[in-house]
Amino acid sequence: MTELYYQTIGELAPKLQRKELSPVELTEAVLKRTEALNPKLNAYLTILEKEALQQARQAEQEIFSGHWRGPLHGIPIAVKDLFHTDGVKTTAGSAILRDFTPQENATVVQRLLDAGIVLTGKLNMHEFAFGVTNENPHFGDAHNPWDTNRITGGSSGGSAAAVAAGLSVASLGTDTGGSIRTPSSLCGVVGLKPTFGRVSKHGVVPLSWSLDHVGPIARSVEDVAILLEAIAGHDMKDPTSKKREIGSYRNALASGTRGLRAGVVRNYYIGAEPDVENNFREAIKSLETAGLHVSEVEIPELDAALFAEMIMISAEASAYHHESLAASPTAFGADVRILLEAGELISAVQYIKAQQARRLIQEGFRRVFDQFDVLLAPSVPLTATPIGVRQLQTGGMPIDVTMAFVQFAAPANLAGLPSLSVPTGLSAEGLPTGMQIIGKPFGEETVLRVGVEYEAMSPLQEKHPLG
Amino acid sequence: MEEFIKMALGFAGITAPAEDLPVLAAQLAGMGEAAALVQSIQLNEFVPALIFEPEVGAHD
Repeated sequence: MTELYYQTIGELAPKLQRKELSPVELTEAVLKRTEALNPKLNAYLTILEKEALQQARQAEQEIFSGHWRGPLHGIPIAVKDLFHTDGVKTTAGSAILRDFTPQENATVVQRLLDAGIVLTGKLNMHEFAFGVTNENPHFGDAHNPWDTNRITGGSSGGSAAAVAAGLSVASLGTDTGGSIRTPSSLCGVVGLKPTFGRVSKHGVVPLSWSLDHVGPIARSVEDVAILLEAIAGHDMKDPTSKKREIGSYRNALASGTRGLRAGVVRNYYIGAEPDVENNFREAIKSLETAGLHVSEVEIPELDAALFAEMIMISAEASAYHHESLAASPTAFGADVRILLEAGELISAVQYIKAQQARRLIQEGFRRVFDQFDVLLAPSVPLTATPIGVRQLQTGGMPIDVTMAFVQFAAPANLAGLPSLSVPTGLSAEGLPTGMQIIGKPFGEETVLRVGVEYEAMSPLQEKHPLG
Repeated sequence: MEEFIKMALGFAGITAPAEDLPVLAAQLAGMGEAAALVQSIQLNEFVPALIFEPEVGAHD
């Protein structure tokens, strides 16, 4: 039988509901696992042991007296350390916010607490979410559970590592240029960047207002669907939040994919490592056998995606951090400081041109989504790189690790499209690879349907790092 | 180039540590290459910047 700390919400919830399992027993198992492995992984920045056990006892009392709130009731979950948590430090992985304690929960944290979760702590991240490695000069690097000498990916690296290694049943992350999908892919878990406006960002330390997205990271597509149902929906406190009906994401999973049309963009998501590409091709074959129609397509506008992403993210992040950068530049880690300084040098003309490029990219997606229900691509072109490595040599060409990760993620951020990363297997070195399923605006049900169909055939099922 | 960067940042009220300047100079050069790529696709007066959309982000 699978250890408690490796079970999914979908497996745990019925046991909790039937009172066969106590939230206290489950929380103790997760906390014990955290105590044993966090020194190695550095996934948690704050562990809320006492508070979590208190919440678990309350959940137990409620459930045992017949007040089961739903599938998240009594589930131990930790969140990325940029979500405001009432009375709990929220550092955003930075020295600047090292002692910041909010007096209010982020909307998504409050929604999870209302659904009955047990909050076990706050998770490591790249400083201010401005980076994709989760190497952190202030709190230490997060380590990949599949090989602790390698990066988790970021910026939600603590979230992905914790979920992958059984230190949290699921988590929340944010994604501005792949910060949910990249660590999910590198750590072998499932991560969803929903449509822009689908999930509230109120109470979330921003990186780039027009590109930031909040979404779930979990060990199964079903768990992602459960979490999305809990956190999605309009929020008066977030002006970018949309008044759109919330889908029945979990019910949609049973719909299958027969007859759906998937496109593989042949002019953009190219140059992946051979193992990443091979696992992606195998995943496509599996989906074709399940009835998905797959064909190739071109979106020439995507050639401008990396430019638009980097200009916008840098300019918006620099606007947010301007005062702090002017007052104490050395309070930032060197990598983030240089990006912020670069953002100060971007001209208004470049920013406007990036916005124009973004418009064209959206139009390009709109055109192909007349013919396709989803698009498929590797989540990232690489497996987890060794900590400290900034450049790789592939085919004699130097590859910047950050740019490689951002390149594959950026189009879905720029167009605000939902994108689900699912594991596709392991490389020859035993490192996870992933595939992203990109959908139409507010098409989360469809990407989850494709994701769950593939998951049943995925070679990574039932495989976990660190025993 | 490094002097120009130092001056431009200073104009914005930012004092960058000296070791950042050569890195920034290299980054600016890269930015120029990316901008040139964008010139190769059609960005003209008929493409309004997305920032003017009342609903920035996902289109329905």
